[in-house]
Amino acid sequence: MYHNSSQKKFWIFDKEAKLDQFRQEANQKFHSKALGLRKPGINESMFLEPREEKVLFRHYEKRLLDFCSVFKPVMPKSVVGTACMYFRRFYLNNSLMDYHPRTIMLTCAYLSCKVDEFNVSSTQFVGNLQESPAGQERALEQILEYELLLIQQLNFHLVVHNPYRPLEGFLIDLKTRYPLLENPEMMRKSADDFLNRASMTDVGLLFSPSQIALTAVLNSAARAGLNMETYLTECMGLKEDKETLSKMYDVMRRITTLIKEYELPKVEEVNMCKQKLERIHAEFTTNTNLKRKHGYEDDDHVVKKPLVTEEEWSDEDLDAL
Amino acid sequence: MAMTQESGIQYEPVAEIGGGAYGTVYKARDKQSGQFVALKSVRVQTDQEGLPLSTVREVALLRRLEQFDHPNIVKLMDVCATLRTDQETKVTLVFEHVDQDLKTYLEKAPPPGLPVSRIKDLMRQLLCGLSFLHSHRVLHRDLKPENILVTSRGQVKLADFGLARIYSCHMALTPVVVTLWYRSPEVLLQSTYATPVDIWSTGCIFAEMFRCKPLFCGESEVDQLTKIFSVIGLPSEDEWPTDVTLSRQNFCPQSPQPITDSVPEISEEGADLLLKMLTFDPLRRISALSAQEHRFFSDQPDNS
Repeated sequence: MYHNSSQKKFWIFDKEAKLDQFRQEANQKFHSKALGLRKPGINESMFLEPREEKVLFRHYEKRLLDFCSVFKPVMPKSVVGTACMYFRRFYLNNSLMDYHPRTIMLTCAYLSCKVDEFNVSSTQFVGNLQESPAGQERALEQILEYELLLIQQLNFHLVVHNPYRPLEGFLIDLKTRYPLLENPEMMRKSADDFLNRASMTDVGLLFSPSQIALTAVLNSAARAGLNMETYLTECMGLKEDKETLSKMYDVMRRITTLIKEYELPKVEEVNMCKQKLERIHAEFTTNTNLKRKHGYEDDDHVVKKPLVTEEEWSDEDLDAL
Repeated sequence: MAMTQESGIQYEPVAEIGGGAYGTVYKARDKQSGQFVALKSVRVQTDQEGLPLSTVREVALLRRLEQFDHPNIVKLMDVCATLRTDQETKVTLVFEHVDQDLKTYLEKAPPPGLPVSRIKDLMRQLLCGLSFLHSHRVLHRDLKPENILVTSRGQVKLADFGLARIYSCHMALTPVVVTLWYRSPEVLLQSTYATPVDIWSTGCIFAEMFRCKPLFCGESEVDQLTKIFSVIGLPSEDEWPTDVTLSRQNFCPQSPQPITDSVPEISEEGADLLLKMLTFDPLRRISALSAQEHRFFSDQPDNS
């Protein structure tokens, strides 16, 4: 149940400013660490600014969704939602300069398949990359390399509550208890679309799944020219509870605004930031002081060395998606 | 969340407090807070699929249950992982430390053993923790006095729940024999099983609280079943599970014996509850929730 979940306790924040602060701190932490190495020729201008990280984050998040949408066998919505949430949570406390989003996004999808019991083998998983067998193998090595790091950075809180189930609940409720609406099913398509767009914003870190789902339903109704205010006042019994009703409208406004404000970054902007990111990773990827050995602690045992460096498979490997 | 900090090791081992078939348990001190913790390490085989699905899901489950802060469940405080080789990862679970388990607690009890009022209190707490786990679809699968902790204030805390599935995927690391004494008939027969397995174990523990020694001490699966049937009787052909390789014909026909022969100190209400827990058919065995409501726990004065 969401009410008693780790999601509610640890991964829901009250203000967007708080999320920006976390990301800023992660960015700053990388700056300090990298400058602390006193490498010749390293200066602040080399690093990504928080704004540039946001550009790249959105770009790779979109790629993650694209990868999931063409995945064979068809990936259930809950798996996609969980993968997106992992990606978002991971980069709340880590910089893209620390860990390359290309690898992290695939690791998020891979872990999500495991946690939500969508049983695909590792070979089947990387088989979905439009890549040569050697390229697929390299990608898999990196996914497995980062799997534990991801689990640890998510604080082992792996159960994600997505808004898809509450949406089903609302549609069933509309069919059974809201006769004013003749065919609630007609709203499914645009409500689903709303939730897909929501997954590319911070709403999942700010609001409960049922709040997001209800907003999707009412938004879908509004687009179809339907007024569903009576659903809230009559069916949800909020006619007398003006305060709760007002809060609910406020939440729905905030969710809708966040989704409306979302823009995919421009290609030129992405390319510029990407060049910067690749330079940073080329410069720092082999430095073990900066890397955190992918989540494994020292244990006076052999620590697995990265089997390949991150540059050995690149964005071009994903371009055919 | 990680076991190492920039300043060094966060948990400093103080003493070895147990070595099971799957690894060693250490008492350690958390350098940050100064409090004692128990470190339990499980070695997990990794392959071309990475961390096993079972491990990922079980650890996620332990983390999820932690949110409830249940008084009769030992608190998971941290999870750490160490890569030992390409094929093996060591997952270390950091639990709150409790000084004694029920086994030690029973051994320490002066003759003639625990008063009935104390047994009631321990059982009430044990069932409370168990019904919480079962309500979240978690089986313990390995309930025994060593896995039930008792604080200095007499609070019962279940430990090692949810780990049995992590363990079951991997071979034991040492020749230590995993005890069969608290195993239910369906587990011994390798039939399908669910939450009733824990109720059977609880029944065995309940009897042990009165006897101050285990109820069924078998040396093999067949021997364990033989000892069980010598008390509860050999089940009928109809009751015998169909999905098992071990035939009913392997056992001598036996009638049920009065439970007071095995547990002479038990009251009439206690005997009724015990028999409901030691029912052969798991579907007819009492649930943890119903057991809590049993008249054995009604506040009538005991002869204690």
